[in-house]
Amino acid sequence: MNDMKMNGMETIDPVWAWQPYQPSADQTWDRRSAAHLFRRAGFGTDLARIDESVKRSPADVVGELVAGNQEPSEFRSTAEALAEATLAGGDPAKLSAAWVYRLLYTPNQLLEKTTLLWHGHFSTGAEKVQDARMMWNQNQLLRDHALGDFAAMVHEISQDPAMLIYLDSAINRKAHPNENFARELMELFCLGEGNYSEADVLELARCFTGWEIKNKKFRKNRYQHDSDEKNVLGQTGAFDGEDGVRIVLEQPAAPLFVARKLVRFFVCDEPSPSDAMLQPLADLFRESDLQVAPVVQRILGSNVFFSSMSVAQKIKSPVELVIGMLRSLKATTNAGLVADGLLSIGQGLFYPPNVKGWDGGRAWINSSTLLGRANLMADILDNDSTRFDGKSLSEYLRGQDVETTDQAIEYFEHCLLAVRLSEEAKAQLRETAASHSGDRERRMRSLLHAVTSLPVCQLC
Amino acid sequence: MIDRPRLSELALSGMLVIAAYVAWPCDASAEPPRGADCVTSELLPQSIIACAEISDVGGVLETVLNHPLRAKLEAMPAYDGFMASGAPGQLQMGLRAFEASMGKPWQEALDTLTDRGVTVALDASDGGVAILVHSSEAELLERFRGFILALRQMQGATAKQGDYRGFMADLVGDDVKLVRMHDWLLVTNNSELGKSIIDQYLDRDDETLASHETYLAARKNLEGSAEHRVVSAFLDIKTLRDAGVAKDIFAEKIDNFVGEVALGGVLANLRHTPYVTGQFHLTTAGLSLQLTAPHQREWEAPREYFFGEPELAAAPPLLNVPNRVFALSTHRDLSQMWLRAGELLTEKGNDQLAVADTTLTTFFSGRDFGEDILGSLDSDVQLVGMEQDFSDVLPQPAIKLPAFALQFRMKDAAETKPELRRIFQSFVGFLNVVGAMNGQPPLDLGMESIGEADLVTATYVPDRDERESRSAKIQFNFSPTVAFDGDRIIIASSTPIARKLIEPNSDSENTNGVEDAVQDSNTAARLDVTPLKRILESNRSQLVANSMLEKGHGKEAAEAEIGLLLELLGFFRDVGLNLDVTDSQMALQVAVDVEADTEVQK
Repeated sequence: MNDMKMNGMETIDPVWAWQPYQPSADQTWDRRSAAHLFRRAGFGTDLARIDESVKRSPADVVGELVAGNQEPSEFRSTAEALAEATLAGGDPAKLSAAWVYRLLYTPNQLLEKTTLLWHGHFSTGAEKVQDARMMWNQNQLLRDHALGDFAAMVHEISQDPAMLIYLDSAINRKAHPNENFARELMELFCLGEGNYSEADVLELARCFTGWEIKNKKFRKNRYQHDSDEKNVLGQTGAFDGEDGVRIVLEQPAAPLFVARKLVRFFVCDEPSPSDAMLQPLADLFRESDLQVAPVVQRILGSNVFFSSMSVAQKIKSPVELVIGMLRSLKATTNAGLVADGLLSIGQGLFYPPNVKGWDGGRAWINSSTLLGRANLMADILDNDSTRFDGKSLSEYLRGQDVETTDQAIEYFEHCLLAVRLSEEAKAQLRETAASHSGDRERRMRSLLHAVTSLPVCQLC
Repeated sequence: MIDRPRLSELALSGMLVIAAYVAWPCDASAEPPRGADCVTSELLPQSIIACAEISDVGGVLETVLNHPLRAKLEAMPAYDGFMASGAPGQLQMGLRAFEASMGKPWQEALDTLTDRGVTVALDASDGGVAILVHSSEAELLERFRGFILALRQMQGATAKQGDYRGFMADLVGDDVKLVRMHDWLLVTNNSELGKSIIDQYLDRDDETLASHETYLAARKNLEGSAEHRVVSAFLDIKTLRDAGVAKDIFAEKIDNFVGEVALGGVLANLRHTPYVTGQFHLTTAGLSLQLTAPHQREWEAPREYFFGEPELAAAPPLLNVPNRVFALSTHRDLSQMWLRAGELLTEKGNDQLAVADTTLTTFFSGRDFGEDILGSLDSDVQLVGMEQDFSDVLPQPAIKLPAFALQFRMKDAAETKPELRRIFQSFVGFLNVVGAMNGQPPLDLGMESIGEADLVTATYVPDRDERESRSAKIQFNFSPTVAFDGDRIIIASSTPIARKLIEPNSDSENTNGVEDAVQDSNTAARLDVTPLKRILESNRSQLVANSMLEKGHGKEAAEAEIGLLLELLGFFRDVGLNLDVTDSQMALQVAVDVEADTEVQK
């Protein structure tokens, strides 16, 4: 039965797919499945936490992850103080480093992971906005609503200075309604192509007339607002911007569109799930007044999430690869180095490539970025500031009772890889370690570099 | 890596003592030959291009270990943390093993081992380095040799020895050999250099560094009071120059104008001078380094405008303001340097200067920047920086920078003052136009008078909702001001520092203390550490953030690191720099004064 259900997303039974995962002989709840959960619901965690989670039920672990949808006040104040200190210099590039630091230290990985999702969804690039404070304010907005109220997030993002500047919508006069934001609101943020007409774009743009950014702040210019009647997505009235956002979110396509985004992000990029497959999630999203957390909890605790349709079926983004390695080994490093490196291999934080955000999936990998990933890992492992739970890598591994090369390979396999290593790959890794003439620390770092450069390590 | 069992401290000491005695060869105490009573330079070949003689290791140890700052250092929380880390235990274990081998306390042993001097020499051929230790106790030197060999054996190194003219050479590292020659200990990484030293030690019949003309001249230069001098050094510049080493330093022209202003004259001297000597002094009050080289006025061309033309000129006094952070005064004829850039700068440097000249000439309303603007100023350049007081100021910038001011004397104040005032006003207008395009706050022009002096000020205007901000943009450190007082023109980053330099009762040209030395110097500078520390304190959150981001530290670790850095900075009082030039000599002196009188605060 399961085989039939799991032949592909098109043929999968939606009822089975989103039912709570119950461990069975076929799909055991073990280190591998727990590590999968932590990698997808965050970036990865150390083996001790994985082992501790295996002793509990998957539903409990997922529940705990989703419940951490707000940062502890102490961590938030530290992260905000760090950001404020960084903002004093006014350089958005430094802001990337501050976010890397947050990714490395946050106790709520799911919250940060979802913030990253919305950063790509409501794509805004610092190279155009050119204002670190605006970028940070938007980032906080996304974090505040990451697992919360999607409708509130869209309402706020539609008045966000960074977003409106990025979409050339800082000015919107009634004589010449600016269509940019109206189009992206429907196409990229809420509905997707085919769920609106060109006339809807024009009418929705009229709703937003008078919405402008002056002196880096949002304001409504009533003299430039078109207060006449509009016809948006089948509704008629003298709508303003808030009405426009509300009407868009009321469309039946909206929950389906967001559910598809969440499934692509948490389950798999390909193949694309059918509408029927997504409908239970869309219904849940609508029933919960567009709250994100219940849908994410349903996805992370579902049969399909722990099935072969999901495990090792995604290509790690650069952030997932680098932060995942660091968090899985309790490592800390130079956040600026990581931020610059992420930019060079295609996922600069605060620097998405265009208004559509990162394509993800297979687009993460090409010959250039693959080499770049290996080089970035080498740079991080060569950097003196890279420490593992405050120790050298060899000391850290010794603390985990890892002494030999074989033990290290097994340890890295459990922590970092979504699939088991072949004997051939293990032999190759042993050879790499043996050929290194340096001390134990250099050998272990070299082995870790070899593991993170493996094709299977690019899978999540 | 093979893990070895940990040895107890006692067992390790015992093994080292035994090994040290076992390693004592029977021929080591043969009668001393002809070279036993010579000085180091009589053993070194003429191909030595640099050497440093450390004269009083025992005295240095005593000064450092008995320094008043030691108690303060030991009272720091970071010191307790270090002591608890285990690293001091290993050091203690090593020291006890050393003491057991030497048969006396380690300080006394080191003092005796080096009591007739330590010399480090660099040979021109193959970069060979030799360290010669001269001791009054040959037996102690042999014990030390035994200790080193025993340590090597314990580290698992294979003992390798060679013999040269009756002396045993032990391999103590990659290519590093150790030889005891009665009361001398030689360590070198170059066999040929080692052999030539042993040959000279035994034969005394070859030409040595002691008979080298350049070295003799340098030695003469080093004569005089040696009180508190711990290192005397010599560097043969001519040989380096002839060998084509560091060609950029000895090149006729350099790449940029700022480098020319700062170092042009020094580099000009290095292109001719035969040698440089160095002296390092250490006292309880601080440490100083003095580098001296022969100088001749005929070597200056075409850089005489660095030194003063036609006579050597001295820098004006260091400016003084309350809470001064730094001051620099120098003599530079900037106009002549700008106009004669073709002779001073490389083609690349001249291309850059030509672009800058065109821009500046346009900016200065068509007046030639080199001839008319710089030419209207005297050659006395004074720069001063001070800590800014933001206690009653809003908005306050998040990053708090020091204010600085540049002071010149105008050759013809009546003509220059109105012109420069107009140029400053145009400059502020230009900044406002450019700033508005980039979303920067505007500058508000103002005028004020203090006595006979006129100030033209420009103040950033904050947004309405940021007037009370305590984390304002970095621009709010600045209120560009130009002040005219008699023949003085002051270009300041902020109005308060300009006022301080103008106010009639301010002691703006201090001529006591360190500032007196300026009278003979071409360039003088001083850094006052206490206000610098206060500035860093006021930016502590930024420093902590930087540490967190760059080193991946947690907040507590970053705060501890920055706290330690600031505490250590508090050990210092000031840093002074003087470049003195006479008809025959150029001397650069850097002195660091420490807070030797501080009381320990727990």
